[in-house]
Amino acid sequence: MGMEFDRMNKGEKRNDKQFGKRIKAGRHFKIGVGLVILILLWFVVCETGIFNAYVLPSPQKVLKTLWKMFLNGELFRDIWISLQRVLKGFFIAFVLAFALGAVSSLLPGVREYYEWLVQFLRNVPPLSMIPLLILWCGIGETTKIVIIILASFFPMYLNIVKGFLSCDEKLIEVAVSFDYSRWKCFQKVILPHAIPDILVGMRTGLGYSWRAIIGAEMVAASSGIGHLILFAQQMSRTDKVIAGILIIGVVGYATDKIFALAIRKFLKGAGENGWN
Amino acid sequence: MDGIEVRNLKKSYEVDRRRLEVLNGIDLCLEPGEITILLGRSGCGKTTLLRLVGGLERCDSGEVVYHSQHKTAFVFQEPRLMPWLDVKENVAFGLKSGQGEADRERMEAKLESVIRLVGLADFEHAYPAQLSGGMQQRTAIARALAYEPSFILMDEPFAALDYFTREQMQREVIRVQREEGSSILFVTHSIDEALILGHKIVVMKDGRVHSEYRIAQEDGKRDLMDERLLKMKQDILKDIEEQV
Repeated sequence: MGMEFDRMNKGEKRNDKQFGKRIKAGRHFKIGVGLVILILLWFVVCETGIFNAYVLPSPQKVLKTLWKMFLNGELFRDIWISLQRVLKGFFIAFVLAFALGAVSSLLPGVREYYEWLVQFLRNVPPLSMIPLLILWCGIGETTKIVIIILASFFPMYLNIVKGFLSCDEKLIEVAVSFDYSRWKCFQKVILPHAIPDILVGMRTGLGYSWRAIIGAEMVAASSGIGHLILFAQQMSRTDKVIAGILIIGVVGYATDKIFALAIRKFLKGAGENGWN
Repeated sequence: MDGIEVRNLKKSYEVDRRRLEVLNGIDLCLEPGEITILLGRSGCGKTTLLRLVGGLERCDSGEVVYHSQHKTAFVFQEPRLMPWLDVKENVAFGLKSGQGEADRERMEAKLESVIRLVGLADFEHAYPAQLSGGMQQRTAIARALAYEPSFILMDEPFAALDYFTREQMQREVIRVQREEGSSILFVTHSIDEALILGHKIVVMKDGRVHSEYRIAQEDGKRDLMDERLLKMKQDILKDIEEQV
């Protein structure tokens, strides 16, 4: 019976893999077609002169600028600096969100002391905090990282708390019936149950971190992709502005994909074992 | 005395701003090493009594007195398996991880034998979502048995099982009770199941104990066509029908 079960599973997995490959190829083709259409439209609009070349530089010009930035290393330097800032802010925000989420689960009575403040701050745009942050933290790295923390903390916190608090009471009752302590119940039931929500929160938070990088690098930065865009705007280099936007989009997309891949590896076939 | 004593137990819930009395003063004695069956119509308070005895809920008044140390395990109406653990990990859920090599080996052997007992030896690495409802419930039963409890609380545990598996599981409950000397409190709707398993059958009505029946402990399998059991079944049916 066991061999049959294994064989059945292997057969199903092979079929699933082939089907998955076909779906993937179809998706890549559609993405490619969409991309070509967009570039063509951009090209036509520039060639017909609907927009001034200053307002909308041609795709060739943007590509040329990107190539130049690639050759002189400017591109990688800025990406590396922004990536460091994003990861630092994201990591600190995750630790804070996880710690507060865990307190909400382990000590529900304590949550009421700070939940109102979290909800208040959630509705305050991080950019509106810049003047205060400059006053408190200066114009160095700290302010930039705090802006990223403010942007990425809330989506992570909300997902983590949801994951912890939505744990099935019946599963907790099983742990109680086996005399689990509150901490052991958290480790063995509540935390594993919350992992999908935590990972979704982290993925969303990572996206928000990238979105906040421009705001963060508005504060007296001399490097990073945000600074590159702002400086290009001041120099009236629209081609460089568009190149910077493209870089942020591509790097953000790539980190999101890497993260999604890590989630899939970590959950080891989540769909199959009923995690989702 | 040994065993568990339930004294004047009362419990009520608030439903739609109305107080609903579920248990109205239950007095019951659960003898050690016996299978006590709680029988009655839906809503008569069987599950509530089971949960109170197991310490999963608090009573309004009265008390549950444990006269000796008990290691308690539950088998719930639903399997309640951890979806992220496979069958073997779920069965081991209640066990403390062994310290030494000998402990670990003993635990492995225990897990293996319990999983084999419930007929899931070929599925020990399957996840709950990959199992049928019956297989999930068998995993839950294995989880309780692996814990080596002295007192097992079972809330209609075989309701989701097919006829043959149910029979096998009933035999298993009897075997475990005999070999381990465990006390079992078992909730069921089925009078036949109560007659096959029980040493004491407690018929509940309106949150009270309506009647109690005793069946002498025998070594062999009980024959439901036995005159004595048929008479008892008629009496229990009469008790339950009176409740309408």
